[in-house]
Amino acid sequence: MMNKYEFLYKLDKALGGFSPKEKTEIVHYYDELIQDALDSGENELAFIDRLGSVETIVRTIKKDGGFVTNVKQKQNFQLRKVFDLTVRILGYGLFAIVVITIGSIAFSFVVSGISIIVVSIGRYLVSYGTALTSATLMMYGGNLLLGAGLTLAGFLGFKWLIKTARGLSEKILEFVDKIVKRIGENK
Amino acid sequence: MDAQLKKGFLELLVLASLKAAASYGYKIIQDVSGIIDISESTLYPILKRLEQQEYVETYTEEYNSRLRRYYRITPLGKLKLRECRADFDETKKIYDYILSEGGK
Repeated sequence: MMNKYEFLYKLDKALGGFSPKEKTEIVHYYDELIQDALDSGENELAFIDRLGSVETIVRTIKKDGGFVTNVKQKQNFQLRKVFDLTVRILGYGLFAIVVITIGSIAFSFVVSGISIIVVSIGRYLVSYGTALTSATLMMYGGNLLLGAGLTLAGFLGFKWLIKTARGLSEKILEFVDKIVKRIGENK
Repeated sequence: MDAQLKKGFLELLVLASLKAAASYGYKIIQDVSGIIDISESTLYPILKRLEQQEYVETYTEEYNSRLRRYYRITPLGKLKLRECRADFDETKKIYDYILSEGGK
């Protein structure tokens, strides 16, 4: 069994075929991994044992190296980036429209609700002292209720919007993705 | 599980584990190992590949007076995960067919 320094030393030696930059990166990765394992209470020797032999580690990384370049060549990166940008612009545009629409409806509810309340209170105060018929009083009361209801509805609308906005943006992006993909497939 | 299938899944799982917040090597293994068998040594090539495909980006931050490398999902990585949703329906159809009685 090896301790951390023995392991890292052996790993460094085994990484002969790699560039100095890659070498440092891999050694750092394992150094950090072991340190994090120790910090969470794992046993140093047992953890390093679990990592497997240095030779297998190096072989796994080497085997993957070829794979990476293959993947990169296969997919057209620039095209994907342009595609992604299109989806994001369309998606966020649509998202903005939805948010602005619902937001302004909620806002107008709040504003009209509050103004109905203010106006009915104002009118009641102006006519204060004069004899009011029960019908007028009922009208003021009704107005107050209406105003309160509108304000509440507006606030609930805002609350809902804030709560769902995040999920909504993801959903819209998924939706636009699908459409753009479908258009691409039909070509 | 088939090695090729697993390779693809591992990449997506690691990417998905970064969806909520940036993370680091040891924690990613902890998060993902509950779902799929992953060893410390297989993670490095996966992270490297994700980085080269520009699905993740890295930054270092000090932790306990040492440097720790963090991995953060990029917009392209998020797109890749969203594509899974479309793939899912297709994959499900394939598996339904494979597992049905002689494709009936």
